[in-house]
Amino acid sequence: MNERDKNAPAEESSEVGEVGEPTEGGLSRRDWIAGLEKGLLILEAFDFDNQRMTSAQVAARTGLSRTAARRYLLTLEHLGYLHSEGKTFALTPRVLKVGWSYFDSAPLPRILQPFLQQITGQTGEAVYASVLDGWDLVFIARNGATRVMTTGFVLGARVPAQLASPGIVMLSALPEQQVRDWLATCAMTPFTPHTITDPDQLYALIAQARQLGYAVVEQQLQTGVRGIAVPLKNRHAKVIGALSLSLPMAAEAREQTLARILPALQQAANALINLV
Amino acid sequence: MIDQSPVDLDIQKRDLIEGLMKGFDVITAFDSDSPQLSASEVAERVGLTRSAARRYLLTLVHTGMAASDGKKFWLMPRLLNLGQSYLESARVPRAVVPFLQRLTQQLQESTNFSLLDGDEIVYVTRVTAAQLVNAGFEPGTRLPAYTTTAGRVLLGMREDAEIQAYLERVNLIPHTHMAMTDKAALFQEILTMRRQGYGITENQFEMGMRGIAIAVKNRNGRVIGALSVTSNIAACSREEAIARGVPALQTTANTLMMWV
Repeated sequence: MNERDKNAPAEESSEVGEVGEPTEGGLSRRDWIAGLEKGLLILEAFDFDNQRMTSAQVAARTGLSRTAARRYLLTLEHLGYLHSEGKTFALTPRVLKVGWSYFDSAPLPRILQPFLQQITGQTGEAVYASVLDGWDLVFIARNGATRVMTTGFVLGARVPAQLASPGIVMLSALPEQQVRDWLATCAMTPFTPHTITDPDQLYALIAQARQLGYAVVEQQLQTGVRGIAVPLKNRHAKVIGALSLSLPMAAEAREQTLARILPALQQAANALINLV
Repeated sequence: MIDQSPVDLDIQKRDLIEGLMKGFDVITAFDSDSPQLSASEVAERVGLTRSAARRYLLTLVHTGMAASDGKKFWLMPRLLNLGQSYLESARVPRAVVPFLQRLTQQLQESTNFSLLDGDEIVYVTRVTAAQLVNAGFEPGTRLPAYTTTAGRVLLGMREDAEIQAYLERVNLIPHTHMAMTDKAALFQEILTMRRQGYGITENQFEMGMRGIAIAVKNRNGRVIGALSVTSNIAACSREEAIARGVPALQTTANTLMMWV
């Protein structure tokens, strides 16, 4: 146990029931395992732009002292999550194991899989299921196309929600003011010449999805690609995710694609209402 | 870098951060048999007191990696971010994508790149062929090494004594009624794979499926992983599959050698 652990009171503190919402500062300090939170923070600090880091670089990216960062790095290396070469550290594939615990335990991706296969059977297209995590959408299940080979998004891939049809459809289920506040402050990187970066225009797209019950998004993330998404609701009418597929725009007109795809998506979403 | 088990580093016990080590145990305590756990259940599985387990869980809830209804806890998709950090930061899983794409185009079958992590085979990249139900393994899938063709091929890259030690400590669970469960036979098969430079198995993990795999080495001769192709046994004979698959895999491995 670290320092904080040793000094923590032995008796039960706040009621567990108070901690449903993962909000900032929702955790009382004595319930906090600093070592765990900081360790996870360090693993997340590695990315495409920071593939190998020294303890000084990790310290700078995480706000830890260099000595503390080094202890965390050594612990992570000891556990096999990092390997070092000289002074730099990099992630090992064991890190995938921690992330994969979600798929090992969560029932939702498993429930969805046969429905995704059914949609692919009906449409021939690759199909995805995703959920919102903050303002990102995360792909949690997928099934490849029967027409073409696919690499697509790997499971766990995340995309800013406003750039893809499943994101738009899930945002349309959130309170308007909350979405507007976020749109006003978020950094909107244009991915294509068509990417909408104006908050009002973007909100119009979200409002339209709410009205229609589905979203059609074109060329926001990739040029020449159209996405169609429907919300995935549970039996309490709560939107818990989205089913979507993305297709090349050149092959078909928008109306044609919608007529071909939408019934299959909606049918699956309807069937899932009683299962999720 | 790739095929490694945690080694005994020159690390002082006091340098290790206990909270972090137990934290990973708490995360991996959740599985398909128990997607939701209470603090006492986690405590029991991980070897913590109930109040300590609860503090770990609350910390995970705080970071968004778990959620709770007040009694039970479960894992959240935020956790996938950790796996993404690996897939984004490690060069090899991304570097092999165009090679797998070409291989899939050539063979019209799903292809995978995988590597060993200790005694487990981890699939890190996949390109799926045009099929209704995708063959092969989703990136992130982790299985005991003996279950799959790629796993056996990569075991074959180890020293004989190491393979024997592995076979001694592992419990061979038959995933199909045709799966190999005899350790001596498995050892011989692994040696055959090493000798012929590729591995082929049928009906070992899923009925009706065939795997062909080949080890990939880098310029320094170090094994960095395996390329594999998963296909339907009904589609062609074993001989045809070898005649078509092995040269394609071999060519790809040779090209990859110069790139990774």
